[in-house]
Amino acid sequence: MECVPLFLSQTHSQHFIYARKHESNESSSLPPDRTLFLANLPVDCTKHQLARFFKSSGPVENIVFETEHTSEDNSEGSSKNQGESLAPPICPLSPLPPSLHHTAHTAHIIFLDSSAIPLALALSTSAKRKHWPPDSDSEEPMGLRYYLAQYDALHPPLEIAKRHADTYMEHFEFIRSFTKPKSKYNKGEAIVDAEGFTLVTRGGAYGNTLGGGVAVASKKFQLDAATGKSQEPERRKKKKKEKPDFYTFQIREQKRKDFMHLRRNFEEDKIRIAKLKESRRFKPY
Amino acid sequence: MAGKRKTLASESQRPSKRPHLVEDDAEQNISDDGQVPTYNPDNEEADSGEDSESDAIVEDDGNATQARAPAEPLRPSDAHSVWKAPTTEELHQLKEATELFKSSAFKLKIDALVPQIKPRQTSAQLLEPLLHALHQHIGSISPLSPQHPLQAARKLRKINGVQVLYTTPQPRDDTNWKVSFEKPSNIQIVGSWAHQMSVIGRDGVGFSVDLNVEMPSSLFQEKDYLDSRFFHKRSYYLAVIASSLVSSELDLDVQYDLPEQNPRRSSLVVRPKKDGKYDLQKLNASVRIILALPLDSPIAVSRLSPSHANIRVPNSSTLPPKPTPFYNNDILRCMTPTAHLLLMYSAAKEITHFKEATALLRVWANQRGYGKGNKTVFGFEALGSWWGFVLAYLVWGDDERSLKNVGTKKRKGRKPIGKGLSSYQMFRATMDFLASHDFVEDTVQVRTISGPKPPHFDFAGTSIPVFVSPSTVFNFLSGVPVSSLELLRQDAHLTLKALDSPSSTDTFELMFMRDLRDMQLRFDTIIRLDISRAVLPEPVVDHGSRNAAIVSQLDKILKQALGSRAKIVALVQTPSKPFLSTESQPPEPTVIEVGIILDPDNAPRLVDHGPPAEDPEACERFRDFWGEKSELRRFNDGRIVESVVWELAGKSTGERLQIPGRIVRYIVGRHLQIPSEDVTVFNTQYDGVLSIPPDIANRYSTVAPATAPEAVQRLVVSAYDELVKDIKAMENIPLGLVTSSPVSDALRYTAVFPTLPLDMDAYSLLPDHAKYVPATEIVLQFERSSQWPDDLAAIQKVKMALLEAIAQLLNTSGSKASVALDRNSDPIEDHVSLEIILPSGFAFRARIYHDREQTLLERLIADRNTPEYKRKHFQTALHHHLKRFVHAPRHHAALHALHHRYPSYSHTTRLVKRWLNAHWLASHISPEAMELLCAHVYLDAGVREPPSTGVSGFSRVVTLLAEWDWRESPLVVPVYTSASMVDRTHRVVFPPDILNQAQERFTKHRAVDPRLSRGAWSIVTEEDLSGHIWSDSVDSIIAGRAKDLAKATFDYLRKSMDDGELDIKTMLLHPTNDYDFLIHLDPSVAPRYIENLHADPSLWKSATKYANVRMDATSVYGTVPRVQFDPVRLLFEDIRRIYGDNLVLFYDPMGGVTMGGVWNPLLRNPRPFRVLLGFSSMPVDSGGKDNKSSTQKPNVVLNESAVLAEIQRLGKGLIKNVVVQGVRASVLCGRSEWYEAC
Repeated sequence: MECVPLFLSQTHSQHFIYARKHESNESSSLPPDRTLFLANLPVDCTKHQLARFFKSSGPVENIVFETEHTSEDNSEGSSKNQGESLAPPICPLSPLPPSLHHTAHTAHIIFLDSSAIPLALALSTSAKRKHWPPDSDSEEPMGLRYYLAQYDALHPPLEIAKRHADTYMEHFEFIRSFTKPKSKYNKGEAIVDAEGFTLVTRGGAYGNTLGGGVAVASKKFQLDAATGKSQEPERRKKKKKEKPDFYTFQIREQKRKDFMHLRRNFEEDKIRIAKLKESRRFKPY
Repeated sequence: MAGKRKTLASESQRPSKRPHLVEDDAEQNISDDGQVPTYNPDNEEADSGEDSESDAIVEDDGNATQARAPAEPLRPSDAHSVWKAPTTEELHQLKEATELFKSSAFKLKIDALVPQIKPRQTSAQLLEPLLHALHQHIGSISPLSPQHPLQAARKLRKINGVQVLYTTPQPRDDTNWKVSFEKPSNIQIVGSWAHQMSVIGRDGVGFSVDLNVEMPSSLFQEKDYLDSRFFHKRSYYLAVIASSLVSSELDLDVQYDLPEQNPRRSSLVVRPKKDGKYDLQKLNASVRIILALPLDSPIAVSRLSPSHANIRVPNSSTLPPKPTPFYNNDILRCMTPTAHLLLMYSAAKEITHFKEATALLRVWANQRGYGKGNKTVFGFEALGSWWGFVLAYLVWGDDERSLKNVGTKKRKGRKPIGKGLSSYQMFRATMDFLASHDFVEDTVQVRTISGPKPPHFDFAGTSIPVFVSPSTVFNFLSGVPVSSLELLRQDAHLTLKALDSPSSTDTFELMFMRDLRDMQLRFDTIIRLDISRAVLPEPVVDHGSRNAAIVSQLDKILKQALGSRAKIVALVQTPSKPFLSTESQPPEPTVIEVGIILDPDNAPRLVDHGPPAEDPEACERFRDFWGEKSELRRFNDGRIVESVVWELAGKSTGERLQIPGRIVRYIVGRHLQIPSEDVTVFNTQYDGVLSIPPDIANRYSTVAPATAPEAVQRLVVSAYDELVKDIKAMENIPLGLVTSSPVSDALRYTAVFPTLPLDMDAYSLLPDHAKYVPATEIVLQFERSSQWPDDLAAIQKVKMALLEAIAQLLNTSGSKASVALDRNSDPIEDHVSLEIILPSGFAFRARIYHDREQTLLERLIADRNTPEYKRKHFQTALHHHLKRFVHAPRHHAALHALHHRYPSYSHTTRLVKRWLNAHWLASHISPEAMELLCAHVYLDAGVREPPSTGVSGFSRVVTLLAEWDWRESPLVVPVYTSASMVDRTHRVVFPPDILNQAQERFTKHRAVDPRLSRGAWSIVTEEDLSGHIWSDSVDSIIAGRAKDLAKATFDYLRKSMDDGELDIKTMLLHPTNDYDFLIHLDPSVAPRYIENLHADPSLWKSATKYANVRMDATSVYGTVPRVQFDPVRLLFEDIRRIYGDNLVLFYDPMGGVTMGGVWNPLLRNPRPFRVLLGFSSMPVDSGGKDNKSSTQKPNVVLNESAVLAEIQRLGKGLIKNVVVQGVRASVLCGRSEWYEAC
């Protein structure tokens, strides 16, 4: 891991970026030979700034921040819907200014050419002062201007908000209709398989079964079972019919238990008080 | 070991002492069990240690008890012996603990307390030689022949400077009686020390051993009771003893002590000098030499009845002299010591737990200022022996003659209590008696059990409190102001209440362990009177001192002047210390503190009504009392009455609560001629810190700056009602509004500043640092409909569409409404809101509550197919949803109710919030948590009444924060029970069944997270048993910091009370030297700057030079109001989010322009580099020793300067500069905890 010191403009302090050649593993889609892994980037760094910074090493093809990585992974799951491409497009809300990264975040920088990697790594030893931000008149708003821009972006004009909501719902409806599982069973028909057995299915929310007339349990029951909630009313029925104080031995047992309970409490109290005593809690003043 | 043997010995005698009832019951139990109680010596021994309770009394052996108790229960064999057969002894013990005491824990605690307050046997023996020497010395003082009093005094002074303290009327040159000294007829130890009932005093008073010296009767004549002659002779006698002790070789400090500055009660306090012959350092005790009259003295008791006038002032010979009850009683006092000794002896012998109960009672009293120490309730300075007699009275009952003598009223005596009661039961019975008894109306004369009956005095018509001791006719309560006894009654009443309610706080601690004398916590209004310039209407004759005469006058006039405004008016004074007998008497203390507990309903009254005009006599009295303030007025209902009107500039409750202070100031000026500047009233309502400066408020809003805050608060409430009505009336929206719930503190009267409506036209003229538009949050709930999608993200979009439709309609009616998205929001969580600025200038933020979201989230969480990381995500979403839409409205409703129940609650909360803000804690503590803290002092006031002014409420919250042991116990706040209670007089009790659950959850939580990374405060309500909904963000650092700041604030409050001046702004000034670095912001762009306590008014004054110049050109924020836009807050949140646990940042959200940060100290330790360290690092040399450093990864530490530079970039335009401070390690509290936590 090479360490690149950055001289922060207007101050005497340095920030350190750590760079390393990307070590590929199978899951990653990045080209191993021309990708550089960077760690401990400044929180406000943008792709543009990074590209500019490494321009001296070679032209940059793409930059991937770690946060984007994970979000890509997430979206993969949903992108399997074939209907996505056909769905009506969502009218976007006003674009937000780029969000700030967590401190010491990482990125992969992909150069056009693999020859740039050694050049970039050599930056760590070069005597030349490297300033950050690389261009002093950054076009990205910072500080107060950033917050003003963000506030205005978070307050879209009413028409845009309306259009966004409407198109989103159209999109949503479309996707839903597209992905709705088409049941091969019709309501009210019993499902009989090839060997002549009737298939038993789970019941619906309102007691209708999806398949035939044979059902075992409602979804609610399933849910309750999963969450561990119990059916209160049923349990109440099983009330004890035995009388607790009918036989003498019961009364005696009860008394004994009560006494032992008393004794145990007393002992516990005593231990507690002894502890308190040790911590000198009984000196009133 | 000796102690143990003793115990066994007492053990064998035990059963015979037991009340029979209990024993029978126990035996029954055993036979039921079918088991024979076997005497098992092994068990017996184990039990013996536990029976410490009665040993402590019988043997008074503190050492032995202490050493034994902790060792016993830890015996391993005991652990599984829970099922072993019980012995009779054990049965007794357990029965007693649970039935005769409040609980077994209570009994054990009492057992632990008693040895702490009594003298140790071993150290008590140290005193013996001194007492012997004193006895010897005093007995051998050579007699002095009769002399003229003044001559004798001069002679004595010449010997070694000892003063003779003659009382008024002073002896004159023409007096024809003589003073002399003869050998005392008896010297003995009396008082509590004589029968091991001493209780250690507060504030270093220690134990006091009373040595009674009986003057020989030959010194006195029959007429000595007249004109203080007896007291002159007594003073001389005392001075002779003092003089002889001073010149003796005993190495003693001989001091005079005048309880209540009364020279008639003078005594000598003798303390051995340090490193002298008799060193008593270990014991902290002093010997008090008191003088007594022998029983056969020539002074007739019958001459000393309260109606006799025994002082004849020469110049008032035309009038019959006035009775001198106090003077007479002081003579009687000198006849009591021996008699009281005998009485206490027989009481202790007769009543089983007398000594222990008395000790408890005295500790209780000492903790409340009814005893020697600082801030003594007036009259209780030297009343220690009274407590024993109260107990004795409860057992012995009333004197028959006092019962007959009450004329028309049929007075029934109290039913005596049993002799065999446990100490706790006796204590409770005493509380019951004190809480209900009026010693003025219902005079007490204790029945004489044995011996000759003393003459009977009739106290009817004296209107002084009376408690006459048996055998003598001495009145203990003579000279005790009625107000002090009222305070005592109140304290006893509250104690009973606390004993009866199953409170969460430790009752035992409330009873005996806490110092409850603090004026600020005890009273609502405190007034310091400097009485040095007071003028009494008549010379001091009957009272022992000027001080006492003034107090008695104050007692009368204050009560009459305040009337129903005050529940209690108490007079408190720190008694003067004993002074060396060779020095002249120091001046009397000049400060009397008046503490007033207000009646919240009557205190703010503007007019005091007097008698109607038809009653000229009463009118005359009324006018005489009030002077020129009184005027005859005709009222709306046609009455014409004398009345007193208190005009006010404003009408706010805060100002109205100043009235009692004004009344006191006026009335002491009128009746005692105390000049106004000698009266300091501590009840300024601190209103100045609860509003923005009026000159800028005037430009911000059209509401007149003088409007009372209550009225402004109501404006926003009515604006809210209007808004809801408008939305309900809308027809063109897809779903109709069903309900709306307010969730904002502005709508429950707990916002620090009352929300001011924005003057829309003037907005563009405001400077940038005044452009903050606060929004009032509300929650809307619409009709149910099947149209709602079953998808969380889609629901948010539907919300957006719905809000957009409302916004369109609102905009047509002149409001400014827009749809707003939350920052950094999750698409499946609620993140769309509606911002509305009404034409009136109030801004609101409305959110939509859709209850299906909860179901959907719960289903997703319960689904087994949800991957773990997503389940966490859903759980957070559900948590946020419930907090925002379920808990917040509920909390609002409950606290809104609390505001109506306790009118001062709102003021308290506003002050507390301001304080927490000013000390930079509010950014970590949610306002709801603060409100619950404040609610606690109202709902669980312990042994106090709930506060009735905001200022006293504030002091109590500060104390609560300083005292609350948040590591060990949750704070229980029954707000919901309170909201549903109709009856206001009853104490609110947290439902006990769920309290246990809450306790369990607390214990569990502490076990899971012992380092308190979050939820350090557990504030339990009925709806939140975990106690973390509102205090989740509080970690141990914040909680510790809050505790320390509370302590500092409280010390400041207390100190300022003593100094007589209090500057609230100083109290709210935050010390910044504890922070590692400070971020200074630019005040001119901080939109909330005008809320800053120490805001510089020149910033907005300079802008007013040209009032009509628009500020668009220079303004950053422009002319359009941005609702709730506070870039400072955004920056703060971003820094917190970005740097996580690298640093902790603090600032004052209310206009603060400085942020303080502390680095995580652990990140300063070098560690090997890894990619995901989570902080901005820089390489450090690993010390040079390591030669292979090139191959090894470099060590890194936190790159502080780079982070600060980064922060500076993040806050471009907001931050002026960042200052790094050198901080001494671990100055900031909680730092050491941080070490642990990481």
